Amino acid sequence: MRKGIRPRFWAVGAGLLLTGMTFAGLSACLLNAPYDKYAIVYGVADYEGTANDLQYPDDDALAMAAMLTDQGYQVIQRLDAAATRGNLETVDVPAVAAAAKEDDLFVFYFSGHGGFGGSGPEPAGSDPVTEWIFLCGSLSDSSQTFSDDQLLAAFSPIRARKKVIILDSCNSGGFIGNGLEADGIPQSLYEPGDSLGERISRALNLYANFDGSSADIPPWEAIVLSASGELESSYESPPLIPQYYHGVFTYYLLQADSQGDGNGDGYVTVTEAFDYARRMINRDWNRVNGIYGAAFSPHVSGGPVDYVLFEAR
Amino acid sequence: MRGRPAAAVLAALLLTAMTLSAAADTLVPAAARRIASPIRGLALGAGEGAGVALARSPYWPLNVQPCYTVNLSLEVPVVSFFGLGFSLGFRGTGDSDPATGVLYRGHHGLETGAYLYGRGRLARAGDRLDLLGGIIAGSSANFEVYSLTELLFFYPSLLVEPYLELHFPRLGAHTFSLSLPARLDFRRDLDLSASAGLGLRWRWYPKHNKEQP
Repeated sequence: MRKGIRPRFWAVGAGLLLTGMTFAGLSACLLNAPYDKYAIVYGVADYEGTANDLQYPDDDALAMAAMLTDQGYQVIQRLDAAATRGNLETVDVPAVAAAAKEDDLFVFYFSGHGGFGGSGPEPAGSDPVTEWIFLCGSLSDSSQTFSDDQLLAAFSPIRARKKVIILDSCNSGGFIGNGLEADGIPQSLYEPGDSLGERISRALNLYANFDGSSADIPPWEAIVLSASGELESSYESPPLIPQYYHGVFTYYLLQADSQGDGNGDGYVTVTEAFDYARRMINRDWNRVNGIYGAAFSPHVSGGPVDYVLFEAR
Repeated sequence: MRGRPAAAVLAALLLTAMTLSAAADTLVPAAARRIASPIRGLALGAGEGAGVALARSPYWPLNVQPCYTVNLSLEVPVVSFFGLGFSLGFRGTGDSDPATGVLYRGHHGLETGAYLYGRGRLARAGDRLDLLGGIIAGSSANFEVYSLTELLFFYPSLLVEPYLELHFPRLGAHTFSLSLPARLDFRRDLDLSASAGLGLRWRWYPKHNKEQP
């Protein structure tokens, strides 16, 4: 009797395994359909007056728009005086919303000033600080700024489920709203990060209290790739060295299509682009400028899903 | 607070199982002796496994990811064919296929498990081989980070693992087993997270020779 048990046992197990693999493989193949890619690229170097002007956000936006166009994106690009909240909400987002389908990919890129402060429309008990990006005209008129929640709401008419928000601005890590993940990269590299025990405790707490909502921009709405943490600045160079003639983060992001395919599969995901930019900033920028208080680190959203940002070149 | 009812239920299940098992061993000694393993006692082990994981989020369709695990185990018998086990290991899950433009992220980290096991002899080939069969059922707590990030997250899992254990008397206190581990993860951001695969395990029963001179 027992001699018959062993082959049946293995056969049933192997059968179940093969069925599962076949089903998953088939569903992956069936969904391997082409999709369109859209991008809105904003860069603001020229703010009201001259005291708050930056040098390179317009160059960042031009270079990023060129790269995305080369990658097959349909790009809407606006610089300086044209990069306003009005244009974004009433012209550019509706244009993408009219064209983008559910399976498409949408990327919003912004280079310019960012900041944090004040209490915004955050859920009680969550991130008490509101982060902002400053479009043209927003330094003198606060109604032209975008908070994290407002930015997400602005993109809600776009049906594309794959949304990526890339921010090369100060305090931009505060736009990330992770529901379940404890980030080991501190929100400022000059503040002590959580110990492993504290991170484990936070991860347990997040799991126990997760209710499907999140402050800021949750990963199931959009993956955010930020230049810096919530409590730190991002930089452009010159005046500091190394001299990139770009925002430091954008400089490395522009290399991600050719250098960032970490696993060699032919695609650069948002996480791979994050990893490449983070490693390079740590290696080339933070090592030199960290002693002057100018070290910073990119951050990326959590969540179980990632999107292909570039095809590897 | 939410962990306490779960711990109480687990403890109650454990006590019930131990009581039933002890009763079975006492009330049906002949049956227990017939299926009793020829190699027994506390066991230390090391294992590895590989397989496929299935993931489905509320927003994206099912996809498949490769996964692997290596771990160390300690098994403490309660009675001859039933016991408690503990494991500590490393688990890794790779990215799913990115060809659709969306992929499930790879992740890796620590898994700590506690389980119940039952096993007995299935067949014997003279003095050369004892074939044992067993099953593991338990749970694990997993602390993992997404690949290329420092984003740490937690999730618990349930594990069932039927196995065949080969004992070559010539090798003394060592056995090798083949298993079919299956795991159901309780991820709060996924509708489904499960995996199945093949496992290999080496066990060492340090008291084997002392108990069976």
